[in-house]
Amino acid sequence: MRGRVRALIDCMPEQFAPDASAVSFDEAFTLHHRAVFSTARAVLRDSALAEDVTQEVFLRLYRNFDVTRNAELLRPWLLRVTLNLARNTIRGQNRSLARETVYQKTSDDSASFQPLQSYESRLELQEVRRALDKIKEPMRSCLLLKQQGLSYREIAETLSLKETNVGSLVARGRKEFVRTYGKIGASQ
Amino acid sequence: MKECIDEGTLQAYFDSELEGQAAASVASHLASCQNCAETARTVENENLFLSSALRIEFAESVPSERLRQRVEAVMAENQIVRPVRSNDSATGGWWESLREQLFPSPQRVLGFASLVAVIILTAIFGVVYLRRGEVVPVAENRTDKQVSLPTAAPSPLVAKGGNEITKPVETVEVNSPKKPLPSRSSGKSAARTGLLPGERNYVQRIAALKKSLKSDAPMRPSLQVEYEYNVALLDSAIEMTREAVKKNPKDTQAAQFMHAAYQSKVDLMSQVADARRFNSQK
Repeated sequence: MRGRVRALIDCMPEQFAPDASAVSFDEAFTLHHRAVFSTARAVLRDSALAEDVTQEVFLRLYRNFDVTRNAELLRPWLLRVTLNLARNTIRGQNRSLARETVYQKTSDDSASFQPLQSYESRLELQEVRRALDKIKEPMRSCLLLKQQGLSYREIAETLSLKETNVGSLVARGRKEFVRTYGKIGASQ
Repeated sequence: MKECIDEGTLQAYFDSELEGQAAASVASHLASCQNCAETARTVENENLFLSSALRIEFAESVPSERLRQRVEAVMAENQIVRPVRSNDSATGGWWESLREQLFPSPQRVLGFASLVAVIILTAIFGVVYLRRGEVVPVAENRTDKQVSLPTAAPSPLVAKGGNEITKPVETVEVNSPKKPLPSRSSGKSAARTGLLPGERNYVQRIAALKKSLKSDAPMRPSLQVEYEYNVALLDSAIEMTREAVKKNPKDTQAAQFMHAAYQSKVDLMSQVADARRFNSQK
């Protein structure tokens, strides 16, 4: 039955495709799953939970695909859902440790995921995260999204902000990060 | 000297977010203002520092293949599991939500119609046969107590000779097994002669849609086959629910199932008609 449904869906675009330039679900996944997963992981600090969130985000995309077919707004839509889900997960979760243990077991034999190799890198990541934790919202999200290559317009769309405010929010977040991280002089 | 640049504009300048005119104006100001030029150098350095620091956060690899598998698995699972969950409640909302989820766009309508038809059939089988299961023992008890009644006896209450007053609920249940089971082949035309409450509207809409679909250009053969297959599935669902409603007109759940079956046929036909119309306009 599932094969039949799949075959039907596959044959539909020729017959009924409303807009040839619209992004298909598969394309949307291929293009944006990295940004979704990375954003979720940056917020949650937990790969297993980030996978859960990514799964849920794309399930929601699938359910709302008609609404979100606009390719330009797709990434902001996905990341807005990602941030909301990740924050809800943080609020509701107290099972992170248990999950991490399970995840360690499954990820050990997975070739697709390689944790950071060196101890120094892990240490550095911890410091970056500590500094990020000190930055208030929405500055923190602005920095994370900008780092992923989102334009100010996309950031504004994702975080429901005015586009004209994004520059100053990024600037304030940047200053806060540098002040907290306290390494700018040493690294130069 | 022109007014100095605010930090947001300076940030936007380094993030290449300013339009040509605005960027040129910032550049010319930076060339003429010592203070702003110094601030700009700081901003540039901090941007580079921030970018390299945050790169660590995003440096870990992404388990693309596993994510894809998970998403595909949950989508497949979702299509099967959710309707079962929605059967738990017999309220009107369940069908709406199911329909919304299963019919996200006209282009998937045929594919999902198969699924919907199967779900409806499963639900109907469940309801109809579970009910039969409940009813049979009552009928058997009665025939044990009474002189063997012919199966088509019009009223079991009369046959009891007023010895005991049966509960109203039971009279409803007893009536249903007494009726001879209509044979599927001959039942179709016979069943259609008398319309059940609320059915007329659907029948009219279906007839109108059928007419409009016929007037369109013929479908591609493979799609035609799939469409007819789905319509046939829904037709048999409608037929079964009608029988259930006819047996027990007070059964609101059966009536709901019948309406749902009719509605899904109307939806299927109208969405296919819409999609084809849209396609022909292109």
